[in-house]
Amino acid sequence: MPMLQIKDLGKNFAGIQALKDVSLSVEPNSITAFIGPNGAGKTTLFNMITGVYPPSTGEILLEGKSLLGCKPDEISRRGIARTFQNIRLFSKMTVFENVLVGCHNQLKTNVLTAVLGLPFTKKEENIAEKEAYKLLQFVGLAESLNEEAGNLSYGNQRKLEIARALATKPRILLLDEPAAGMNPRETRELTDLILKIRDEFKLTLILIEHDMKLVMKLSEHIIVLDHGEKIAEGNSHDIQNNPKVIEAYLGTGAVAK
Amino acid sequence: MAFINEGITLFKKNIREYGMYIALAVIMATFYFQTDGLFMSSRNLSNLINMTGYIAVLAVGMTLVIVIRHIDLSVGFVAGFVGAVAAILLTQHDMPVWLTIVIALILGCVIGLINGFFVANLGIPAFVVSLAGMLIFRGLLQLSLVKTGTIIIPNQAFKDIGNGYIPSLFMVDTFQGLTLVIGVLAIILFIWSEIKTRINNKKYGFEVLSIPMMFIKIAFISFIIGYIFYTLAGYHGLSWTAVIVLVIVALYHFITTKTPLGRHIYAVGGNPEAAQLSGISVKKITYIVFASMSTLAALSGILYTARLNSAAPTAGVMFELDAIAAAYVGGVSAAGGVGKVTGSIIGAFVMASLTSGMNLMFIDVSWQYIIRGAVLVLAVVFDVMTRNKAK
Repeated sequence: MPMLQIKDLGKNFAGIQALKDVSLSVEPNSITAFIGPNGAGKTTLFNMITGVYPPSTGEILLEGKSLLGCKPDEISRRGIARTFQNIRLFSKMTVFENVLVGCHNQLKTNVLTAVLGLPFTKKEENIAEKEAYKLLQFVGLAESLNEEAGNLSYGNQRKLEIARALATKPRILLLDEPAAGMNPRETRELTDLILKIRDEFKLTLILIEHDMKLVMKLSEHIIVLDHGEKIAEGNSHDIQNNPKVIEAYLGTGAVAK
Repeated sequence: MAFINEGITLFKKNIREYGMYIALAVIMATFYFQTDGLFMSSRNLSNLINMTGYIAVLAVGMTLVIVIRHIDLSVGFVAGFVGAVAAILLTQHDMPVWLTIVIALILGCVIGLINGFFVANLGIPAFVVSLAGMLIFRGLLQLSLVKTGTIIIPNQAFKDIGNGYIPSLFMVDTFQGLTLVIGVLAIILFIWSEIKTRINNKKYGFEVLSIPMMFIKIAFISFIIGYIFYTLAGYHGLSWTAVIVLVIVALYHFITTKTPLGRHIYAVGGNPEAAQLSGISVKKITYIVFASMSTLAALSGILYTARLNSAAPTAGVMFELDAIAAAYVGGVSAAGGVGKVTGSIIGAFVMASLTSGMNLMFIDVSWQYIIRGAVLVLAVVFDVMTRNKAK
């Protein structure tokens, strides 16, 4: 069964068709990329998968079960995590606390049990702290765990966002332009990190990215969107030679030459 | 030299927090000299705590409301109204005090859930919802007292909540024994928690204070706690109001700093969208924070009614503004996600000390308002400036 299946998905914003009858499926443990020119509807697609807004038409299935009508926090608990194009951290909290917030997803503790100091809340909190620490080591931020998140460098903020997303124990991780604003060295590090995440956490990854080198290197499956429609899909070789894709990126006439 | 450097770094890093303690110390010292020591007398300190109690519990709740980027203007008249309901239950229905308190707190909680419904479910700005609440509860307060006028409560147990002191059990010279014992316990608890935090922080390689700096911090704060309890023990001892405030502050301090719920509240305040997508229900947090706020408003109403030993149609005027001022003076940021419960308590005491001290100095009430307003602006300006510098 595909990990994620999208059927005839459409979205209207006050009469503007942002997405039109998009169908696709994502295999477990794969890396899929959504590419396309600006305004093609890639982030809209992410926002609908994570429940930020409901689709106008169509359906989204996570391992065969519909996600329609779920709030973003429910979807997060059902196993889809994401990062943002413009980084959104809890910038006044420490690096450690940022990841801990993600870990709490799994906790059974509530206010009452915590105030009563029941032993299992302590145990859970300890486990969460260990988890958070491991994740920070994994992305290479263990050194700065007591720093305010807002004071980290841009590249490190990206890593922290990924660590926080991983803390929710997702089965699918969505990365919205993870390499945006990064220098070549940071991009290389990120590429390695993404591959490491897939292998170590047995995750399904979907990314939106404009850096074609990164896309071609990482993705097993590429889906091309243009003007809210899916115009092509396939592996990197297929996509690079698909006339429709070249046209969407370079404009009409580019193919003829 | 390293020691002095550490001191300087520490001060720079925590200038906002330390600034507030320094401000409180300066205010207290100024009044101490201006009133020939009267301000720091056992009696006056005891009064100061009792008269701050009902604002302090509001400030605790308001901290969380402002942290999640909302505001609650209704708390003053909710306190007034719930106080009137408590008075009616006690005098006209002969209810026992404990039951009255339980009913009052539940009533407060329900009011908070209604506020939460409008804010979280319907997305109406909290300012508007609570402004409407302010008008409605003012009306309900007057309505509930229209037949009786001000209700005097002839109940000693209830009166003690606002005016009574814990029993002394035994005397040490002229000092209240139990109050001294609690003071010693408080110091031990503080030292123990400091050591525990230090061990925990070291486990994850967090930076910790050097041993001498840690020693100075513990000695200094222990001295302050000790001094306050010692002074109080020299009068009637710890008041029930002080006990209630201490319990509330301890509870909320624990929840906000040590539990997942606390972290969720700050996460929602820091970035609601990211919080939601990390699996936190923003709606649930909003409900919890507003319910806690109005429950504390009900508690504030009980403290106030008990203190005056009566319920009057004018109860609750300006409470919300005092609580909001206390929170801002205490370092809560309107941008959301920043602010400590303990800070707001200090803020409440800064504002109350100003009132008490200026009263002792016979300063005209008009000037008192102006000075308190100036202090509020100064605190916020200081806050913004130190924050910008940190960037």
